[in-house]
Amino acid sequence: MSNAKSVAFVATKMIPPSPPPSGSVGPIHWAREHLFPTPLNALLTLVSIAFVLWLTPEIIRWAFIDAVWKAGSLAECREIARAAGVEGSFACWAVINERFNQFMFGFYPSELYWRPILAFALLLVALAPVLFAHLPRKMLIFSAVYPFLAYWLIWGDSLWAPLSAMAGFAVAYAAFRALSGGVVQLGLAAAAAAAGLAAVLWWLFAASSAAEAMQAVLPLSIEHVESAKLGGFLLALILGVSGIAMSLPLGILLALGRKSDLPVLKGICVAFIEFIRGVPLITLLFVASTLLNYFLPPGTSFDLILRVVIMVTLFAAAYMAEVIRGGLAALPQGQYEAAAALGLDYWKSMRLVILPQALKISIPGIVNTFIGLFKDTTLVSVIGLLDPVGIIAPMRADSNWNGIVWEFYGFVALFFFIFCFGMSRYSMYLEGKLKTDHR
Amino acid sequence: MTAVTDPSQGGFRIGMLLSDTRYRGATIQTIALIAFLTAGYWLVDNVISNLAALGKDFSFRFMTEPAGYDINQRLIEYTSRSSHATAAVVGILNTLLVAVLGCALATVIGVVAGVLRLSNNWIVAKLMTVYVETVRNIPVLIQILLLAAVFDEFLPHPKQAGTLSLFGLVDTGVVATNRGFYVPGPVFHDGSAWVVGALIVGILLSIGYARHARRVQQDTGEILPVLPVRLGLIVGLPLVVMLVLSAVGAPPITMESPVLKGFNFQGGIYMRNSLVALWLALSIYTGAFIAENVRAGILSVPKGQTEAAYALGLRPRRTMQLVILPQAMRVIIPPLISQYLNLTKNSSLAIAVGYMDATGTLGGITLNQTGKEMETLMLLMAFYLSISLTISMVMNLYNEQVKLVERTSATGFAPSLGHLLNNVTGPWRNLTKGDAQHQPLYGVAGWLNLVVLLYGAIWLALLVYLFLMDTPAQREPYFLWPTSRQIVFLALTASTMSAFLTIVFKHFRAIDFAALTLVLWVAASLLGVDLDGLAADLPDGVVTYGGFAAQVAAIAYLLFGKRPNLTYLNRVKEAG
Repeated sequence: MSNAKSVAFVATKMIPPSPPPSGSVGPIHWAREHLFPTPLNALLTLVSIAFVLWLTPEIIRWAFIDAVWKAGSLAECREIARAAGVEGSFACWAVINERFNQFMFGFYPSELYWRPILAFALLLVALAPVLFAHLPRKMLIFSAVYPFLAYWLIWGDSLWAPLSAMAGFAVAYAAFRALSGGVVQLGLAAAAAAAGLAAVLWWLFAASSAAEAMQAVLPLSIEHVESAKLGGFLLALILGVSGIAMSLPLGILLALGRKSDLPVLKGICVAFIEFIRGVPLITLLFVASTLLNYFLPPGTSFDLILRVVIMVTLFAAAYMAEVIRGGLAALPQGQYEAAAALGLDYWKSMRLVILPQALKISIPGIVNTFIGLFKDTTLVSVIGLLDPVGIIAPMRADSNWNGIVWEFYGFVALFFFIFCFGMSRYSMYLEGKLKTDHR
Repeated sequence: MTAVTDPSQGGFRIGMLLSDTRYRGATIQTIALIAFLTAGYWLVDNVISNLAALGKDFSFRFMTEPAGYDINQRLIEYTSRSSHATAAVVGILNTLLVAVLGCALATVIGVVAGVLRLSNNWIVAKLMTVYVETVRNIPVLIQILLLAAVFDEFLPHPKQAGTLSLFGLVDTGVVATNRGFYVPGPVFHDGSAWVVGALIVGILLSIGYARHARRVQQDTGEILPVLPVRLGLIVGLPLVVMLVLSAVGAPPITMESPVLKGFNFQGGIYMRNSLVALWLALSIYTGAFIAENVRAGILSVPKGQTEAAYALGLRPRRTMQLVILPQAMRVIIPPLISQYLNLTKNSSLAIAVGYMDATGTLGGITLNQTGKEMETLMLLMAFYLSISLTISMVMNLYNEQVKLVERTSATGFAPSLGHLLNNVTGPWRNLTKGDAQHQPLYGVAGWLNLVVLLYGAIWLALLVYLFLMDTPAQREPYFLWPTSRQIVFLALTASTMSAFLTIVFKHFRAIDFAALTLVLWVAASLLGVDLDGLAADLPDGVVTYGGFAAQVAAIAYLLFGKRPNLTYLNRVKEAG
């Protein structure tokens, strides 16, 4: 140290680092690296830039600047556009404006629009605690009640019908408590099976008469709306949300069945999954619309929307099962062994050790299946339901609007894009939040 | 575990059926089986009583009755007097047509988009991201309907239509009208057989040359130019033949361009708008998914592999070709195949735009006209199911072939006829991929080519026989056969296909499927299937007995051949 101070040629202070050569920093360098590294890349870049510069203004002009927002028919649209001096094509959003309610609700009675709107608002409330873990857990009670409430709001009729359906779960719960420790001491599995049986018996034999009895005592009903009147995004959301909500638990059960070492159970699950995955959804929808009644006792018929929900759920559940099976297979064998070593029985080890990890691994796949299911709800237009896609055909046939294409499909596509893109972003958020490894 | 530590409780109590882990599994399974059978019985019973109540019967005889409707896009001869079965075959071929076209285009789009998304070029990568994210999040049905509607509404009437050109530079000769697309097509004249023959000879020669080059490289390390020579053989040979023939007389193959005659274009290949819309929309949609698979596959190869290859002195192109791609392909191909499967299943949306695929004919008009919902939907599902099961079989075989050979392999005993070798020929040692004595043969080895050809030919003949069932002048239509004969014929077809695929993938099950095929062959001919009808031009008995003899020879070769190079049979005799 002291030597350093005494010698003249030793620098006494640090030389500040010199800035990097101007060619290797800043936007110029970035552009050279990422836009024009080779002649071929430069060409690609120029073509891409030209494409973007041409397309973006064109789309903005078509969709916003030159668009006509209010008119009674396509001819009127054209007149307005011509009067405004528009040349070339333009969007005639007037048709969406005029048919907006049909796109939203189908042929739902317009004086009752508040009911689906309320149901949708409550859906957001019910979903919030499921999606975001930091909300109070008590809110989940409302989420559990919500399906029955939404059914009542949308279809109307007596409140006692959904209430008595809900009572089935209460019956099952009471039976489970009584059998698994209260009155009789049965094994957990046996108690659960008996509770399920009790609920089924309630639904089959007691539910409808109980509802009727209560309705006679205390009439609580709102106007009934037929299924045939449901349509538009309302229908897409009903199918999508109920399919999503039911396919996940079913898919988990199927996946566990497929992984189980009980050959009969495994065989049934494998056959079911492979069959469903082997046929297109459209054939299953044909089954729902034409064939399902053959499989039920003569004289029974139930709602087409319900039949479609069942088919869509089964379809998604088979794909879900494969996704979750992938997650189960990705867990190291040691996790299963550790759970067994702790003395956990099958259901406890699944619930506490295996499934939380397996489901976390399969989140991207699960959300992809949800997105696929939501997109697949458009297929119901083929069997004549008036979902957003199905409702376009009669609108295009309307002589007032004959000739409009892009506006219809663009609008519906935008709706689906927002929902599906939102779901995929949410899955990324969830993956990040649940990440526990330290990388 | 619990079973071991549980103290023995003496005698058997009924409660132990649930509480004792030794019996619980059996109890649950019995209950499940009973519940399943009860539910099945309940469903079938309902179907029977419902059908009886409606006065319908369950039979496929309607398939032989005249269909009475027209199909405007078809690959084989069909009139409205043809049977429902023929209509279904037309529909199936249309499904396969759009599936094959779609898979090809989707692969091109997907590979290009996937590679570009990884590109260093920022704007190109972003554009591809926008493409993938947009297309993946919009239902494919909307895309199909949109394209079809755009074609119908905005393409010109044939009278105003001209040919399309690329950026005003190259005339493609394609005419797009609101009635459909007209594409120039080849017309085969006399002498075109020579060109086709030259093409086949070229392909065979190129395969032979590739094997020769491979052997030379294995023996001497010298690398022969493969790609130019093969291209020269495959493309050049037919081209030379064609030029020679053109010089001598009229050209054997000419291109015919569509020409406006009256109200429509004539000549060339006609594709309906619905077909083009379906094809493009499915390809663009599936292409976005394939792009993601390709990207994931390339990213899955660690950077260390590239660095190691560079350290070995490989040039970038050969690194890509020999190190990166083979490893990426192992990741890419399985999801790629399931995307193909998805595309095929999505092609059933054809019914929304009126393209007559299997769903449009069998599940659409035939269903509505005959009122046979049960039978038509069963056939339709069976068709899609057989396609997807075939594809998943191919995928499993492929996975088994490319999977890494791990330190411990599965020890489960897989009973196979291949085990006969142990008894007949003495002890052999199984070879795995890492074994020094294992010499991989490239492609399918020697005599095995003939075995593959044999089963491929039988499979094809059986399929054609099954599908072209509308020639009652020559034989009884399939749907009028007795049930046992129908089932054996289907089983024979499936077994031949399995034998074919397992041999192509050199899987040890080949022997079992070959033996099963032989048994079913005999059973079918005993049950009265006219096997000679598979090749009606040959004299009687040639196919039945010749096929039998050829199969016996093939099985003998698989069992005793010197080295058939099946994964399981790839073994050497122990010394001593």
